[in-house]
Amino acid sequence: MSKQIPVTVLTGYLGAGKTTLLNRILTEKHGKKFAVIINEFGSVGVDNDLVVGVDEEIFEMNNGCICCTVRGDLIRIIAGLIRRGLDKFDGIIVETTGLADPAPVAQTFFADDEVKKATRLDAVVTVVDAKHINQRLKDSPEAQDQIAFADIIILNKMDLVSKDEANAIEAHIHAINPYAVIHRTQNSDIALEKIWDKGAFDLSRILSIEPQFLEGAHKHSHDSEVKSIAFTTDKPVIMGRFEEWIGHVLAEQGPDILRAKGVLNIRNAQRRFNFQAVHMLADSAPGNPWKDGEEKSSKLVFIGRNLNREALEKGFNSCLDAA
Amino acid sequence: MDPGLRRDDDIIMKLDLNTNRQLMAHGYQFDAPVNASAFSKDGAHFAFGLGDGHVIILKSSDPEGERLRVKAHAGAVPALKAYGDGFLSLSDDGTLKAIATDGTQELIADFGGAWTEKLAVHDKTGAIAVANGKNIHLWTARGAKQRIIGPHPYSVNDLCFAADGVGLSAAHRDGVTLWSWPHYEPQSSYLEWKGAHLAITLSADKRWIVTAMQEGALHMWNIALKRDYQMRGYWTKPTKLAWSHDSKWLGSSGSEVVILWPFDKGGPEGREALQLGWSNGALVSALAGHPSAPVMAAGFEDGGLVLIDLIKRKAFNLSTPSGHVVTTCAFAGSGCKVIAGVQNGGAVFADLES
Repeated sequence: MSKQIPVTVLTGYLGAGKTTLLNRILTEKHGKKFAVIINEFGSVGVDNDLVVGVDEEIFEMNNGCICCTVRGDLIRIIAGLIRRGLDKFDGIIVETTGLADPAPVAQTFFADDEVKKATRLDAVVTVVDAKHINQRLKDSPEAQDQIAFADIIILNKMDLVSKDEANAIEAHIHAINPYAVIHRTQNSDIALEKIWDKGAFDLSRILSIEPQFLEGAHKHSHDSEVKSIAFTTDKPVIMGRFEEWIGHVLAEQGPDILRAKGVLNIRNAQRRFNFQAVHMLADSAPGNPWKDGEEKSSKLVFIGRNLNREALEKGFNSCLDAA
Repeated sequence: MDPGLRRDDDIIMKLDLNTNRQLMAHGYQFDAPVNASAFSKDGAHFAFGLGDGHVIILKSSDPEGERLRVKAHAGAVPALKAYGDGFLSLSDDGTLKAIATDGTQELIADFGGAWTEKLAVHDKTGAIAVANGKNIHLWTARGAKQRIIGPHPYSVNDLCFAADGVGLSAAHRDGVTLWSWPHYEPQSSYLEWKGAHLAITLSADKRWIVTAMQEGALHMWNIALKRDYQMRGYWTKPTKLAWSHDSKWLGSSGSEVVILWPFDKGGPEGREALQLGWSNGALVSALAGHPSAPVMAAGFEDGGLVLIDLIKRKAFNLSTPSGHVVTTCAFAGSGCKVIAGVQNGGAVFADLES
C-alpha cells in the first residue's frame, strides 16, 4: 500500500499574508514538490510545482446519523492527482479563500474514502494579520473560526505591532484555541519545516496540550464568540462511557463544536487514547504507551460556540472512574 | 500486473481452476499510472491513456509487436474513447485531441487550461460532449460546430448521451439536467434529488436514468412513470457503472462484489440485486460490459480482474491480485478481447477466444 501524502490547509484573511506565504513555498529551493490547489480559475505549472485552480463547491453529505459538508471540488482534484501519480508530489497545499469556513475542507479528508486512502490532513495553517486581528475577532465569526481550526498560526506583520500588543493578541488567540502553535513573522517569513509535515491531525502524533493555556476562557465572552473549554483529570476514563457520551455531544452539538481534541488516560489501558473531532466527524486511535512510573492524566479540549462548561464537565466526569 | 509475471512476454493465464481453461494474455509495464483504455471501433487496435499524458497504441493482431507512444497531453488522460477509426483523448490539462491509429494527433478543442475529465461520445451521430465546470461543450454530430450548453446549477460531474444521440444527461450537485436538441436548439429540464451525483448512465430503452451518489447509493429515475428510487447500502460511492449488452443488467461498483440490478420487465424496484465477482474483499474499481455477449469484466483495488458470466451467474478470475488498483477495463466491440490498466502502470491484453 502506498504512503498517504500530507495535505496542508492554508487559510487566513485577504491581506494577512497568505499569498506571500504561498509564493514563498512555490519559489523557495526547499527541494519539495507540491500540488497547490487555489481558488482561481485555470491551472498553471510553476517550475516544479503544480498549481490547480478550483471552483469551490461545498455539498452536504448525509450518511445515516452523520451529516457534514465537504468540498466536492477537492475530492475531484485529489482523484485527478492520484491519476497523475501521487508519488510525484511531496505534499498538497489547499488554499482557502479569506472568508471561508475551514470545516468543509477539513471534513473532506475524513469523509471521502478515496481521499482518506491517498492523503492525510497534516495541519491547518492560519495566517493572521497582527495589526487588524483584534478588530476582526470582534466583527467577524469567520476570523474566529479560522483561529479555532488552526493547528499553526502565523502571526504576521509583527513589524506593525508592539511586543505588548503581540503578547495580548497571543493570549486572546489561546483563549479561543489553547493548542495552536503560534509563530511570529514579518512578511510571512516562516521556514517551510515549521508548517509542513507536522502531523497535527495524525492521531499518533497529536500535539500535547500546554497546561498553561487550558484555563484561558474569556470572562466577558458573548454567545456568538468562539471559546475553548478544557478539562484535565488524573482519574482514569472509562472507555465505554466516554464513547457513548462523546457520541451524544457531537450528535447534538456538532454544528457548534468546531473542533475537539483529547489525549486520554483510559482505565486499564497501556496506551494513551488520542481523539479528535471536526463538528460531527470523530476519529480516534491508540497513542503512545504510558511509561513505567509516568503520571497518567487526560486532557480534553472543546472549541466552539454556545458551549456549556457545566454540562460538558458533568458529562465528562460521568465517564471517569471515581474510585 | 502480477509481479510474478514476466514483463512483456506471452503469459498464460488460467481462467479459474474449475474450468482449467487457459488464455493467452500479454502484460505490459508503462511508466505512469494507466488512467483509461479503449479499443478502436473495429477492434484492430487498443490504447491506454497514461497519467503522464501519453497515449499508447498497440495492434490486437500483434500485441507483442510495435507500440506507438504518443505524447498527447501535459496532464493525465482521464478519458479515452473510440471515435471514427481512431480515438479521442481528453486531458485534465484542458485539451481534447483526436488520435489516429498511426499516432497522428489533432487538437479538437482547447479549454484554456480548465480541469476537464469527462468525455461522452455517441457512435452513430459522432456527437461529442465535454464537461467544463458548469458548462458542457457539445458537438451534436461529426463535423458540427462546437456549442456550449449551460450553465448548470453546479459543476457537471458526469455526462451521458441519450441512446439516439439527440440528447444528453448531466449529473451535478442536487440533481440531473436533461438536454435534448431535436429541433437544433438545446432544451433542458431538471430532475432534483439533493446530494452529490457523481456518475450518470441512461438505459438504452430511454426509460431509466441512474446516478451514483457520494453517500454510497444509486439514484434511479423511471422517466415514464415519473418515479425515483434511492438504492442505499453500498460501502462507498458506486461511481463505476456498466450495462450488460442487452441492457438487462446494470453493474455497479461501491462494494467488494459487483452489484447487478435487473432492468428487464419493470426495473429493479422490489427486486434483489445479483452479487457476483469477488477478489479477497477488495473493492471493485473498474467495470465494463461486453458489447454483444452476456459477460462483464470487473477490476478490483487489489489488482484482481474477474470475468462475470451473467447467464451462468458465475465469476472467473483472470489474474492474480498484484496489490495495485485496476483503474480501467474495456472490451473490444468486435470480438472477445479485453484489456485492463493498473494504477502502477501495468496493463494486460487478453484474447478470450484463443
